[in-house]
Amino acid sequence: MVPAASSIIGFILFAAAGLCPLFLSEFKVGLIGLGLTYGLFAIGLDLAWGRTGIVSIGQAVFFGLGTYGVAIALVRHGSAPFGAAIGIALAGILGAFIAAVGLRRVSNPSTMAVLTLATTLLAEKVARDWWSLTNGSSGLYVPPLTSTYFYYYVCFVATTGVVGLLWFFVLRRPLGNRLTAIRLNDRRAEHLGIPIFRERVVAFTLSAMVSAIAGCLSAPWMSSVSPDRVGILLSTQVLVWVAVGGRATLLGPFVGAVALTYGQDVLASSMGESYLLLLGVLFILSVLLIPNGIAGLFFTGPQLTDTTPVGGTLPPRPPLAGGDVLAAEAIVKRFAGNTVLDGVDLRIKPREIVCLIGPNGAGKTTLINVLSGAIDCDSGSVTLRGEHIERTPPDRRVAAGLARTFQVPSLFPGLTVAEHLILARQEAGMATPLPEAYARLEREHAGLRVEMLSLSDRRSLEIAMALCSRPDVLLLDEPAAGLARNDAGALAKTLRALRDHAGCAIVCVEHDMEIVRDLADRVVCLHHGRVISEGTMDHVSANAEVRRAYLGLV
Amino acid sequence: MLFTANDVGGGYGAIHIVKDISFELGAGETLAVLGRNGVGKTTLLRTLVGLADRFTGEVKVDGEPLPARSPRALAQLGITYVPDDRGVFPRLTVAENIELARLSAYRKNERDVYALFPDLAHRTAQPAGTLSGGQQQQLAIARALATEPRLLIIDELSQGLQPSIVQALAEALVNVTRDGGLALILVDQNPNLAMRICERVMVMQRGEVVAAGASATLGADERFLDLLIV
Amino acid sequence: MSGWIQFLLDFVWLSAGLALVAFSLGLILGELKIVNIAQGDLMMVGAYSMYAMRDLPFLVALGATCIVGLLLGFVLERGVLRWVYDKGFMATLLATWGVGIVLEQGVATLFTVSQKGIDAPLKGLIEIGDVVYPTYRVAVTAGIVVLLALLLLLVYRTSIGLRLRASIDNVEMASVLGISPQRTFAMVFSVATALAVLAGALIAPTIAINPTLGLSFLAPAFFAVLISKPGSLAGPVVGAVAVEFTFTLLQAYFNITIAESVLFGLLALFIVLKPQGISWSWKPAREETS
Repeated sequence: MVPAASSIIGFILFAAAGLCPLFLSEFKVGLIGLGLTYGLFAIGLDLAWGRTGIVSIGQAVFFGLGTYGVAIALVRHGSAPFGAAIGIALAGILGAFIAAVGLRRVSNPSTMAVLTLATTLLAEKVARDWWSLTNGSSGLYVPPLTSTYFYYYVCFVATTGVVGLLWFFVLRRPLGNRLTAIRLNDRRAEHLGIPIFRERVVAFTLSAMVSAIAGCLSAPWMSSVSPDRVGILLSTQVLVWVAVGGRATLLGPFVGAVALTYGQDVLASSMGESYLLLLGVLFILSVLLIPNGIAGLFFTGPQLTDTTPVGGTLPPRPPLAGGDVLAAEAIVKRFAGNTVLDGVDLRIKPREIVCLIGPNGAGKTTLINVLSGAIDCDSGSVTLRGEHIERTPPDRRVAAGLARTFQVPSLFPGLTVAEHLILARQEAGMATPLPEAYARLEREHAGLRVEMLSLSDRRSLEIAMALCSRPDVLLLDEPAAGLARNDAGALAKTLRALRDHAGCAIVCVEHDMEIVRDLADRVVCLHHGRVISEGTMDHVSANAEVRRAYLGLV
Repeated sequence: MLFTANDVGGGYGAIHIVKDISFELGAGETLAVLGRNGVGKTTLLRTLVGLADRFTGEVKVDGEPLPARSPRALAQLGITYVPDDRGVFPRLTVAENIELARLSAYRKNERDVYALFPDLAHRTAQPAGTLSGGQQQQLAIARALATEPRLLIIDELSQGLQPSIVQALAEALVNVTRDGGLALILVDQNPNLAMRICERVMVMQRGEVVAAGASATLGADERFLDLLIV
Repeated sequence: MSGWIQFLLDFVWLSAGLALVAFSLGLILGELKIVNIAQGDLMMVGAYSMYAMRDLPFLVALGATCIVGLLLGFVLERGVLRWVYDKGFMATLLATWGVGIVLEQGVATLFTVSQKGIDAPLKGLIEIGDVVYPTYRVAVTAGIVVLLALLLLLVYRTSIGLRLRASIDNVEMASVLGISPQRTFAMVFSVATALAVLAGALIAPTIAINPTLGLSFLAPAFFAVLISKPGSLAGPVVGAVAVEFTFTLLQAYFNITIAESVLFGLLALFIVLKPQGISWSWKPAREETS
């Protein structure tokens, strides 16, 4: 899976890190050892920022909790592993707390920035004031190492071990794919069935704990552990390492951390304070010019792991006792005093294709949003297979058998067609085969990034992803909008074939009346947030109220 | 010619939604752009005023190419735009919304916009975001008129509005265009309304113009109505 | 009695400075939609500017410092921020962070990291009730209150303010009405920078000047902005008073670190209850639309 170039460079760097004590002075080895622990620290930050897209500008708090945990244990002649465990546990708890407060669906993105920033500023003060525990500004004097070389290898093995565990148990697992999906497009991720709040909290907690482990390992390298270990300067530096080294890669954070730690020592002696100035300029330039960092310049491999489940493990949903598969009753939704949905009733039978039509502003997309859980209705009820779902979050509605597409296709920028389907199948829990029209897309364009696809193929991909969850009801918002004439003409046939293949009901917002005529079993016309007519196409189009709504005969 | 579009095309990101649109509009002339949902009418207007990502072709005002492709450049030439979401400033009061337009007026005239929309006259101190949809639309039109434009571009005049409000808005527009010499490009879901307000019609399908002509002629043509109806 | 007067004086003095910084921060967040992490460092630049001009008459140095602020803001907006607007929230945040590092380290290189101090132009003390308070603080407090009142008048009562608020509400529609987004962004960031720099300059005589002095103001200023509705300009000012009141009150009972911890806890609680901030005005703001 991993491209050859990155494997080779990675192996060379790994070997270099393993062998460098044979060639370098004790002092230099200590420097690189510290750089390695900083690299692990950066990997921790990268888990939140690079992989999941969570802002954390106070990451040193977690690192410092680990460092202080070990330092306090060493100073008091206690057990260092015990101190480490306490530090890591505290970091995990604090991380989970901050994430749970700052990462809710309704939170502003600036909230997390302010919370993490405030945490690091506060932690530095606490460390400075809590004399009895931290010895204040002068810091804790850590006993010197008996053997630099031995401890270097302890760090080397521990770092490799933690990164390896992360790689095999998080990043190469469905969780890793989920984090990438959340970073790239959280709304789409949610409507694929990914519980975004929970996974973000998990990612941030893990990120805090990995940073704390790095902090534990770094303590013996320092002559003294002072409040700047939890402070803003270190929080800044780790951001620079990750940004310059390269986000969402394994090598990037290490390269950034080791190079800049080593460089700091070499350059700081000759440049003094202006070294940090240089670092700042470097950081701004990297944000402006190489948003993916140095590693991003070289490695553009796949971003996801193939986690397609083997065979079907999805238990079939119980057969419907009869009646409606999806029912909405008396749905009301207001925006800023405008009533967009004004008591809409909609009943969908299994395997039925219903087209929603109506003039602009009739409330069609809002209804789709209410049904899929993208927005909550003000009143009314939605039942799927008889279960009330009007307050259920979107990801759980997907699991219950409701999938959707968006008016503007909502995909994961930078991922290939194959990667999109990997995600969809992973969330579905089984490798659902696709109907021929969509299987062709998978065969012919698997390796293509979605940016390269035509609009028509992007819409098809979105439908294919929705199909993977084997929905009972598929909600489509204007599947023909912007399609070329011949693509649009084929759509009705494709969708009917899809219904026969997948056995799902389809609720489709559509404006092209030729498509509606070919596609719909039943047509529902909305106007001013109400259903004004429903039935066959001929019945609806003959309805006087519908003609008034469209032609505006007032 | 007040406004000329030559082979205008535009869209967002990789998607080209409208292509090869050409028309001319003289002072005081009115043009309705019709077509079903999703044929690119809104994108055409946004392309014309310089709000779409992509642009091909040429737009001329008074026979001169534009100095810059931005809504601001058009505003300075007396061309203003009412978007389909109305674009009122929600936290500004009604009076402030109007006042802002007067500040950037193309010429000094101090038209009494409240006389056209009495509903707004006694709500001047209310934040625009708390108005109903119909009132917001009235405010959006009143604000556009307060810039004393030569050409007014309106997207979805009647969308989501009660028939009575639509009637009032239509009358107000007929008055300012017939009597005031204001040119108008109007997009609306409601062909009858649009053809009553505008002398000329242009019908779009899939991003292209498929029919154009005088409202009186096309309005009587059954095949033309079929292009629009359910 | 004197305890209460002391408390009030401290509270008013501290909240005045914080309100100015929070106003500036709210201005940047509202118009440019950027969380400006460099805000504290802009204050620091103000303090050092005053230090560099310590031999000039105070008011002359203050005026020159404001000009420094305007220029700095203009250069930063044109040179850095303008290139990251369309790169998303994270990129803008990181860019301002980078600017902060560069300012801090640039100052450290120019002036070294050792602490500096400047004399207040007014050295006297004022007796208020039983409490003796430095005249300079009282004068600066009064000055900031007047300045903020003028700024709020400018924002809510003049055509410039009207254009600004329109641009904050809907930048695209503002451009349709002839308000250039590029110019507004540059102007707003320059003025906001000048205000932060001015705040730093005004408090410079009362603190030890070092390159990281801005940090202690950063968190409370963000708290003030975070608890008010996004885009509100009066909100951060009221927010600053609320934060400083709580903080001063907490400090009366706890040492400063515990007070800050409690304040942080209260903020977290607030965010849980009101993730969208609160509107300080009595009129309901528009609901979120999707």
